[in-house]
Amino acid sequence: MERLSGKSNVTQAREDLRLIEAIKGGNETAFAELVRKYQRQVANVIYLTLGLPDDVEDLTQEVFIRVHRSLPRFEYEASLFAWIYRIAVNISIDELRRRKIKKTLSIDYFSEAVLHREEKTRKSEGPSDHVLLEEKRVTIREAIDKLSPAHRVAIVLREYEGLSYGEIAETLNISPQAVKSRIFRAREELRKLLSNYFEERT
Amino acid sequence: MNHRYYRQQLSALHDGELSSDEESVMKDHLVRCEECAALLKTWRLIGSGVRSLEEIQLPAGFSRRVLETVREDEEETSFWMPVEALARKTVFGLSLAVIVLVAFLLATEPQQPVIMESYLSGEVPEGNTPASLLQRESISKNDILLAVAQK
Repeated sequence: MERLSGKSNVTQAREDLRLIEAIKGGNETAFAELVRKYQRQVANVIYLTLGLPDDVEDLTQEVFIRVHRSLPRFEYEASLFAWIYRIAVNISIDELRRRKIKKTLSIDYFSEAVLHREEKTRKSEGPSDHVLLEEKRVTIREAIDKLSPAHRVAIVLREYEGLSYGEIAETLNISPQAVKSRIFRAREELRKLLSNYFEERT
Repeated sequence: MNHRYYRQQLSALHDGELSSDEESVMKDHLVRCEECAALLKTWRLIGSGVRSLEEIQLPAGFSRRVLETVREDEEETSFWMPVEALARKTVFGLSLAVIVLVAFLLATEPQQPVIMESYLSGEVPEGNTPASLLQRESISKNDILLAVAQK
């Protein structure tokens, strides 16, 4: 979380405690502050888990509505950000399952994700460095999409959000040892998936 | 220790999640193992690739819109809450009424010993013979029991 806010965990926890108490007391400004504080992280976890920007705004909103409904029952057994991340991860995985069913039912399904990326690459054609960066992003994104949801979420929380094993364990409600193992497996899978890409460039 | 163990430890080393003892063991291993050194390099590239992914931008005023939706959600909840409470009370009341009714019916059902007592004491109403029962328009349970007892 330091990568996100630049604040120490203690300061973060104190701020969160203040926000929780204010929201429990019916303070709407405090809730808006909480949304502003976590909206970027929540939206990106959803985006990177789903692989498409579609519905990210709606799903992020759903996360905060659920947070608002459940906050009166929040018992401090987890830190606030881990609890919010957990809601975001659960909503993303539910959406992923829903989309998988929808795609299975579709006869002429053509990967929306691939179309979206092709369009982005086309739009980005310009200075060569930018094209290369976009190509790298597309390749990495496609590799992440091939991971299982459990591995995908673990690697996103670690590499993109910068959470520690302890924080990921808290978020996913698993042991730090399981986090270590998931991240290692996700890295191994990514290495295999991206082996050609990196070989060409080294 | 097998090589898979070192690879998993290497992943944790990359994340800064090893104790100082574990870290020095891994650093010693890295000096000797080219394969692990190459692996660490690849993981670093993958990590920087993941971090280079674009952030999604939420529109300005997102928190305000969330707040509005939360308010609507609360209003909807506050509208349905009394309806829900009323429905719960109605279901409870009806269940209670059914229980009371069943209990009342069970309590008021004629008791067989009373019929047998009236037969034994000779207080059998006239016309309760099996033959006379057949000629009557309606027959109660009591009539049948008394007729059977008489027979």
